[in-house]
Amino acid sequence: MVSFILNGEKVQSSGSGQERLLDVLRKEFSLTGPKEGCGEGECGACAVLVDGRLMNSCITPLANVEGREVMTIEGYSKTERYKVLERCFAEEGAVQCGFCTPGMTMAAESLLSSNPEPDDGEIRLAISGNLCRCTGYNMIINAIRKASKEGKGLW
Amino acid sequence: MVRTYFPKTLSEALKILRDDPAAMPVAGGTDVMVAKKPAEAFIYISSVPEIKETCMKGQDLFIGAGEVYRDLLEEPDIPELLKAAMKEVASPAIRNAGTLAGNICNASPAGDTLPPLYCMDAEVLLSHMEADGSVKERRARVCEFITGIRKLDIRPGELVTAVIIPGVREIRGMKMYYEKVGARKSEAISKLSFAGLCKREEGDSAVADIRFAFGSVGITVVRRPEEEQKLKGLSGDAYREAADSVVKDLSEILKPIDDQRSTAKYRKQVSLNILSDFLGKAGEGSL
Repeated sequence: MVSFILNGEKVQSSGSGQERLLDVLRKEFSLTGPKEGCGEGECGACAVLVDGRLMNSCITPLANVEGREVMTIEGYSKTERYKVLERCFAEEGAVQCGFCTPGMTMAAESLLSSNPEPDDGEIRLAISGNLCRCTGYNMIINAIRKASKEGKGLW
Repeated sequence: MVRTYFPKTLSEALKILRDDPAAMPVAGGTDVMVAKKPAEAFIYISSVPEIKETCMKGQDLFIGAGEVYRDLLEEPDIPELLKAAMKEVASPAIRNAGTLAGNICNASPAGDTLPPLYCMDAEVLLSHMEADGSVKERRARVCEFITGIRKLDIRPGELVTAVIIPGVREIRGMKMYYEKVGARKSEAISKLSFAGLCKREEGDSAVADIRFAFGSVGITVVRRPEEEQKLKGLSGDAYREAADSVVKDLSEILKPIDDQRSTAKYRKQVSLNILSDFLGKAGEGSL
């Protein structure tokens, strides 16, 4: 049994610890926002926040979230910060197929929470572990830059 | 059934390893979870507080085996050469989970932090618990601790609890050079990498100390102190002549292979080009 806080609620998983956090989130808790792209920590589609830090849930053993706070896109979508990012992603055309978007959004939150006014280089670095095969990245960078301006004070 | 352990203290972790030496220690899990090799047992050490501290002991810097890259990048005592390599490790999410000790214990010839650690004569601190409950420690040089691809000179029940940089102040006073060549800027496993350190005495054009190491061009990281020795105390033409001869020697010593990431020919030529650049800059004092 592993206990942790999932999107603000105390939960207990029946897993023994070596399971991938991604599988636990998707199968046991029916949270399908985190996606499996590569399954080896290279694409970031499975990204979640653990104690506020970006983590690839596909290579995070369940054991490593014992007692910690896990936030998925489902929990994050209830926040004001998310609403700004959602609008800016839509306005800038930063979403096409959408598969990378949950992970990209968590990477944006991870960046803005520690650096509310990033320059373009810092935005590129922050999403460097998230692959997008549709947009060519520029629209995503524009969206994050816009969110940092329009969401001033939220981060 | 796979056995899993969640120790909350170092002594608990060492007791588990003594009683179940087949248990594989897991810190961030960024390599273990990708390898998907089912071990009989796993011991998750990321909640053990004693291995999450970085501190000076005498002249040596002790880096906690459980500290993740992101936090290590904020540590003022860690030399810039090692930080340069840590910044190039994978991606932000991996740097939030991965550890320096994990990079050593994974024993990959492409481990990003290994060439700097070899240059700095880094060591690992290994701890184990005896039958009577007493804890014993030993230190091993990283270059001897790693014996081959995924092979370590580790004894049953031992845990790497810290990475040691001996005489760290002196290392921080040296000029550094680091290069990683990969297919893309982020998330790349290196085609080859190079780390160098150099010190010249105040007001003296001669090279007092020089060290360099290559990654991804052999079974383990390649460092040849006997070649470094040939350059010490020299300056001007004598230094340049010695540097040419060192590059020639290294062209015999480096034995890279062809694989999915690069070719032997490319790896060797680029490694030698980088070595020449480093030796040139070290000689001119322009590092």
